[in-house]
Amino acid sequence: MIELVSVNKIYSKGPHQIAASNNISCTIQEGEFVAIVGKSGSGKSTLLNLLAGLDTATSGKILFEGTDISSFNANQYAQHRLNNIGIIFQSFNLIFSKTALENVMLPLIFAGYSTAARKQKAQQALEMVGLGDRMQHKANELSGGEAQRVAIARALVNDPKVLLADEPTGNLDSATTQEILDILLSLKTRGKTIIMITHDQEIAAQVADRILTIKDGLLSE
Amino acid sequence: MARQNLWRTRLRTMLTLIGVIIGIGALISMVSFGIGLERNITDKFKSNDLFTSLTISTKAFNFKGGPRGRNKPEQKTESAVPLNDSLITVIQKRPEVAIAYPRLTIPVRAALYHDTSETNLGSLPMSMAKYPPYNQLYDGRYFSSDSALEAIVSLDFLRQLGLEVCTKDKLAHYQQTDTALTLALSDTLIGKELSLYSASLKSTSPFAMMGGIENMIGEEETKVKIVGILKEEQFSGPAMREEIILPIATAKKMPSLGFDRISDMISNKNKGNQYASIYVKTKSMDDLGKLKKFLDKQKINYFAVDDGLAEMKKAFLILDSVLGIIGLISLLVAGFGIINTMLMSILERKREIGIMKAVGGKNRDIRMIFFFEAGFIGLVGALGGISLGYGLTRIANLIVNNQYMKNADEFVDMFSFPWWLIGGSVLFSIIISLLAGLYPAIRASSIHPIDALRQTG
Repeated sequence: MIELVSVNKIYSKGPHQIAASNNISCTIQEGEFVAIVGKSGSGKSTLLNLLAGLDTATSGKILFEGTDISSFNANQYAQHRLNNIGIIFQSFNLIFSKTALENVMLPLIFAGYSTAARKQKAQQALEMVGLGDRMQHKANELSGGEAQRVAIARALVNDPKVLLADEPTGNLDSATTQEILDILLSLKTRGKTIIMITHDQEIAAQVADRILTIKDGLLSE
Repeated sequence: MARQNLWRTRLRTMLTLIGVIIGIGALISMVSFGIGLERNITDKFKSNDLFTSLTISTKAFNFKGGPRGRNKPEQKTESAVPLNDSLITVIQKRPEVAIAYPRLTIPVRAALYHDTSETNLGSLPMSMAKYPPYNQLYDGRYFSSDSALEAIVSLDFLRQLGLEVCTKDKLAHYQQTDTALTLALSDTLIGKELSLYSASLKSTSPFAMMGGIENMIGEEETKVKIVGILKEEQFSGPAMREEIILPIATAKKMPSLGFDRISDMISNKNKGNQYASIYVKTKSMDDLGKLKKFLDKQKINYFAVDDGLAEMKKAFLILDSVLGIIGLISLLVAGFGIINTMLMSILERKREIGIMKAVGGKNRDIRMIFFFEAGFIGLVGALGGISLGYGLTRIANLIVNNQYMKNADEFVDMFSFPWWLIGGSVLFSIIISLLAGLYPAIRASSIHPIDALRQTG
């Protein structure tokens, strides 16, 4: 489903060049739950940004269902994210002034759904993550676990093929971590392709079909 | 979403809105004043039939000279045809002409009761009875015949005699006003005798004749009956009519010197001019053009107000532009307020922009959100500004009418709000707001999502 061919991402800082992604090649199959494990600064978030189209590779190809997305422009990437990718962030990235429901409805605005359809789909997504009773609460009134579940609902609401999770349990206690991992596992059983980035080998081993390790921008199985 | 964002920062939005409201309010008030002034003056001209009339004169008018031509030597081309009854007959027979009559202006001293006033006396034929303002007198009626010893007088003339005239139904209102004039009911003046003293050349005594002086200037009295009172002119400005009007045959019989100026006496009489000017009223505005062509061909000098109309329209355009520019400056200041608000909003919402991009928002979507916010400020600001402008102009109208035009027959609206001005203001406000939102919108859409998501808070 996703294929990376010799992908490099090099950041220039004055005379120095830092390779955040170093000649990365790998393939991720449809329905697979892949964990990318690495320490802080290893290049795992850069890799996730490249997969999400939030950043562009310096060289190499990223193929999504056979299409090379590495040459997309900003609007094509946005469309790609809207149709195919759901992203879950460590810091939730919710709009705190809006309710849980409004946050989940956000991608559907860009997808062109009517207000009624947006509301219905967002309610369904929130009920799926167990937040049917917290829809009208502002994001800043939610606990960390609830906020992350809202973020998962937002990532799922437009029915993407791939979920990219960047340290989804990084800010959560152990009980809440388990709740989030359970939700991710249930999504895998529904056929979603999940790529999770984590620094925690144990969590990766608990949920992933396959673990890839990244160190100094180099990816290894 | 944009409305929610504006509501979230409502204090800042309100302050920005106030800027737009003041800008639009200033713009619409200024322009409506210019349009109102133009309308009032044009209406006054129309009510006096000035767009369907011209005055044939012995002298050529150099209207186009205008203020810039002030220092140019005055044109003094004499009319090729003498101004007399034969010319009036020729003109009267033309198909485009409704009425033609000589304009007699006689300086008189008028006395009513025990007060006297010096003024100019004019004259009108019976045929003018059906035209405004003579068909809508303040009180009384038009002359009974061209030779009747009757007069129509203006309210201003009566004021000069110390009389504040009103009708019965307005008496209560006038009694409350503080005036040094004596209050008089209009119907009590109808039928009153007016003495007119005009200068005339009299034969001198035999002793003077022996000294070589054949004539001397004396003063003769003509008694007429007031039959009508003219309405106040609709809009204050230069007076368009004489203050006492007599039937034309009566005026012709009035003892007078036969000239207004010594130069007229010397030049006109020698060239067969019976009158200094002839008033011609055409059937329509188009007919006025035809008549002017005829007069040009005959080399007859004339003055028509519509000659000055183009110049007047230019002057109004300049006035409207100046007033509009003053309002525009206020609106531009408001525009900068919008830019400032939007830019601050971008800084505050950078992370939010990153989130929107991460979940699939395109650059165009982000731009549209900011455009919508700017446009919304423009629309609400325009509606508020129009309300403010309308309210202020109503207050200004009330003050002017109550303080300075107390005795006017009709309420004078100094401002005009045509639909195009209201619609144009809304459109203009939205355009200015969108232009003000353009840079912030482009800047917001060009924010890199990763940079935006890194922003904390």
